[in-house]
Amino acid sequence: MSETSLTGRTHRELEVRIEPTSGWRAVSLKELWDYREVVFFLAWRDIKVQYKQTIFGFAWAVFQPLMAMVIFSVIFGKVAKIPSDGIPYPIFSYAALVPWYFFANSITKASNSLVGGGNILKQIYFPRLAMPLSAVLANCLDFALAFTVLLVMMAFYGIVPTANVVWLPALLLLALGAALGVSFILTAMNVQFRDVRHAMTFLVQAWMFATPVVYPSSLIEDPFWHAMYSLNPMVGVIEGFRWALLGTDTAPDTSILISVAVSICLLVVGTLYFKRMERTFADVV
Amino acid sequence: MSRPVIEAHGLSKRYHIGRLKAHKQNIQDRIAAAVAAPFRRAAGLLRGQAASAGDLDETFWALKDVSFEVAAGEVVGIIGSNGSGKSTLLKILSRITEPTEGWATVRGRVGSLLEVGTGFHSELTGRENVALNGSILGMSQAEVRSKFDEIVEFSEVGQFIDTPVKHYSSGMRVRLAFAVAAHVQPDVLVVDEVLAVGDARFRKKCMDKMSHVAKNGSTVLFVSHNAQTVTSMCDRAVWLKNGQVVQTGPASETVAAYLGAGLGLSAERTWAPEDAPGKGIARLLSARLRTRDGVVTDCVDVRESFCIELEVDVLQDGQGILVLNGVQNGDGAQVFSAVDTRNPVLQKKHWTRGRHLVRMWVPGNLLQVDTYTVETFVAAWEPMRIDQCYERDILCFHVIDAFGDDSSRGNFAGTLPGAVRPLLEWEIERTDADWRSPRLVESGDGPLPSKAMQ
Repeated sequence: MSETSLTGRTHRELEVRIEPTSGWRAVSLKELWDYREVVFFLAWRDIKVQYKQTIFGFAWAVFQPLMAMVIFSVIFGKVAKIPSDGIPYPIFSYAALVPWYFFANSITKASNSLVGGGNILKQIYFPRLAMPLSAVLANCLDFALAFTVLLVMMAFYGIVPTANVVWLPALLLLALGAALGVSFILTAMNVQFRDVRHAMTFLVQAWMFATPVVYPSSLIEDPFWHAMYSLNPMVGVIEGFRWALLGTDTAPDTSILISVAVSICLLVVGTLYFKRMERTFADVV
Repeated sequence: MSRPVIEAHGLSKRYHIGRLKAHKQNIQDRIAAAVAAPFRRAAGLLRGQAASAGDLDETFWALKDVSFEVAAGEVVGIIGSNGSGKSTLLKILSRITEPTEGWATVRGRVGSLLEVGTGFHSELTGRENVALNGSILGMSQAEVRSKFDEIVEFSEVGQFIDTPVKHYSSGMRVRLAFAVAAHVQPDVLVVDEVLAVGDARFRKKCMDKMSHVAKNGSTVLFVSHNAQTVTSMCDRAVWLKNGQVVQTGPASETVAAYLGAGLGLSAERTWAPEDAPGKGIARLLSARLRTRDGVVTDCVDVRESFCIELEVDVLQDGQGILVLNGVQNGDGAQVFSAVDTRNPVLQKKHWTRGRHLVRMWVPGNLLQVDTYTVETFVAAWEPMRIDQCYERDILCFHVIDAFGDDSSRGNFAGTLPGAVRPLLEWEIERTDADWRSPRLVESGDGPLPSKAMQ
């Protein structure tokens, strides 16, 4: 059904139906795939803009978890003497801080992606999901940089990763899924309720203490409460990280299945909710 | 295949605009409402409404039941005054916002340049924004690269292409955005009023580009309140008023109807006393255009002088009233502004209470053949400036062409482009020594002596 114009090509096979939508809609993965270049471009833009006009540039990606590690090592490791599964406290906490900061920065930046990029939203059409998606993807670079430092630290402490390291990609996927799910929900909410932005700092802080970043999850011994604890998908991720890289005996058990299930739920609910709210974005932002 | 590129059927868009009952509340109700508000908003959110929609009881239809079709290769102008729904329509067609009712089908790739902005990210450079916009519009990066030089050349941002867009002037942004939209080989090019930002030369260039795009089979949808541009650019026009289609048809007919009635513009305008623009010191009662013969008309012969007559009601004694008129041409450019030099204010005198007729005479052979609108500014000037009213588009008139010795055209039949159409004095002089020689005149190889030389 394509017509030929003098330029030799048209895109008239693209037929877009514009009409009011209502209720819950499934996300069109095809459309998202068609716009994959846009997603990567937006991610690249986020990366580029993020450290613009800073002195340290990308070093911030590493400073952030490193400084947190130093502070936690002094306060929780030295002063409070929190156990660390028999591993030097600095690397014990840093191995958790790397995936944690990926998650925390992802949800913080993604939740602000639509409000912060509000203008582009009113000016041009693309699947809105591309905004939080690219904000999360942009954090992958920070993660990679911080992860490299983790490897250097492991070499410094003479820790050799176990064979379980092959599970690392799966754990990363779990973290990514959780981050995306939470991001979609928070992003859509933030457009409607700017309360989200103000609550973010508190939310991230509370979530961190609900995650075994500064303490080992072995502190929670009761099996029931440990299962409850695993409702937080980042528990499985961080336990898995320490297990795969540092050889702690926090091998994923059935509780990781809870984490996986929760991640998938978050992702599905987040996407549906985002799609439901999407139609009002341009009018509300 | 001749399916229309754009089909719109019953498009409507409703916005929530404001509180209706707020003023009736007493303090207890307000506190109760404030306590209940988060819950009400949460409920609204769950129903998929905008967070603030629950508070806004009054609704406004920015667009109501708009239907039209556009075929491939057509250039269609959308005209209408401010707030008539033009921009909302474009926003819906470019999928920025959803219609409340109705549907539309757009076939093909849409390149748009909307009033609200260019879709640029201010931290990125021009080059990066071209790539970003290109990919959003559906081009592969290879396509963007192949078009890149053309885009930069057209936009004339040249050496600034690697500068962050935040340092661009608004004109540069629009130029680059237009260049991107027009070069992505869109099947539908949607252009809002934004071009007004650019200078006249660039605007012309954009118009030419749009015509070119249309000749290549693309459809152009073009919004303007500039009637002249629509007539010259478009095959058809859609006239919107208060969100509804008033008329669709050949551009010239639609524009004529719009100019005649759409704005309520005419050769004469009278305000009811309660609506009269102005404040406590002076107000405008009526305005009209009169020829030298005293006839009220909206068509003036290019050769004839005419006056803009304003009836000003002065409500206080001892005030200095100043009247300033401006005249804009069909491109929206200010042709001139004039202040009443006979005004007592400028001679340190004051006006008395009562009605006054203020006439501004415009000489013949001054204005170009075009459509003009008149704006008026009235202020109390002495002892200090207190603005009374500023009214745009109070009158609309056409200056029509004329042949003849007393016109600047004479008997010349070609076009005479330009901002003004003055009648000038011409001289022709022979500079060879023997120019008086009858032989030369007789042989007919010299120029004909003009009237001035005889």
